Amino acid sequence: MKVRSPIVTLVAGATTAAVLLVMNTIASSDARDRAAGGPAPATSSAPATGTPPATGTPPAGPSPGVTVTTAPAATRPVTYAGRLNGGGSVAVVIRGDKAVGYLCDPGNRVEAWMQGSVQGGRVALSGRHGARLTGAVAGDRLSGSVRVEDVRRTFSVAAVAAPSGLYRATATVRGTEVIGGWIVLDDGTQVGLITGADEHPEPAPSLDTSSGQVTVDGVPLDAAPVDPDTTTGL
Amino acid sequence: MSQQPSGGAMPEPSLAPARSRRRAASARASSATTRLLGLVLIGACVSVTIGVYGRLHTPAGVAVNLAGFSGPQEVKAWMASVAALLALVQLGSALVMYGRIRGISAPPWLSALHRWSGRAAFLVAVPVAMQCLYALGFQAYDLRTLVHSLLGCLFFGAFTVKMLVLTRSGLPGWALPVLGGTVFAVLVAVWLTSALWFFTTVGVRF
Repeated sequence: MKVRSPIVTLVAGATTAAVLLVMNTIASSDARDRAAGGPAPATSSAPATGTPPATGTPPAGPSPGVTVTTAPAATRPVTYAGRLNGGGSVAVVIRGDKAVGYLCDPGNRVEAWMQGSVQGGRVALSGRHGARLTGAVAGDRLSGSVRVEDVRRTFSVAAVAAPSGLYRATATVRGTEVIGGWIVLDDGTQVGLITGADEHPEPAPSLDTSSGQVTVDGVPLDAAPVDPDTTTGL
Repeated sequence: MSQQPSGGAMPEPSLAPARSRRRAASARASSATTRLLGLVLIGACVSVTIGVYGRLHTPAGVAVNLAGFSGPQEVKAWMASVAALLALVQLGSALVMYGRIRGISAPPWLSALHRWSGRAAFLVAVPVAMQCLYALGFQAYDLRTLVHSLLGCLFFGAFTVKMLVLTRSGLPGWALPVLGGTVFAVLVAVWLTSALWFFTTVGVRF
């Protein structure tokens, strides 16, 4: 055995890793471009697929690859919420070209907050732990798939009106930061999880949708409807 | 060492060569260990680099897929299982090479089998690890993912050290078996916390 050959093995492994890294980087930037509705506006007009987004205004100029935020100040948020195929529920709030999504599966203690953009009716959200949601709006329905950790579920959910929707509360309870998320479905059912610093979600107590009040460990919290323009800390 | 007779019947100078040989031997041993520690440090840098990358890189949820499989998880689970199988070949051939299996003596092709099955296991493990790091990152949200992430980083560091040890002389004789055993144990643990978990949770499927 030549003294060099173990080094050759290491170099071969490192080279393979580098090649894969490059391929993966290309693949994920392609996926981002596709989710954002296609290449730079300089070459194509608004994508022909799906219903127009809530704003309906064209991009301000040909800036390649950049999501141009026009002035959607007057748009009202639209919430799509419902059950996932295979368990759990999902809610996505869209306002203009921004969206926030929440997957909630109290049975398996899985939840994921995601945020992202909407372009040409196509929704692409991502969150921590590799959570990703992709979907398309057609009429008053949002259909697509969501993936968290090793779980992948599809869905086709309808737009819901208040008091149904997506609620979020963040507070410090007994020195720990807790984040609670609730999906109120159109039949009034609530699906909610509360997560503290240990990142283990627990089923959330019921939310009073008229006041937004909920009590966690004896401490009252205020949950507010999620608004993509104002919700932070995802 | 026995007592010196006080009469001086055994002169000091004839003991000196034995004593200096022992001193030289222990000096060699400690410098061999030092050399080994230097290589272990390199391996540690590899492990830490992988871990830091996994933690800092935002998981993309997306990575290159392989045709014929249901999804990236299945690709990884099966490729990891191939690597684990080759690791068993590694263990078996190493045991025979070190004469630990009574009744079987190492045929001449055994060391070549050990080297090539080892290379194959490593090169199969690299894409699995790359996929995992890129799409999922270093995760610690439960014990399984924490152990998997830590041992995954450790595997590549330990493997690096084992390769480097093979290229140097003057290292302690126990270094190679200890490193080989470590690499094997860590890979098996990585497989248990990922592929086995996947097959038992989602099912054995392509």
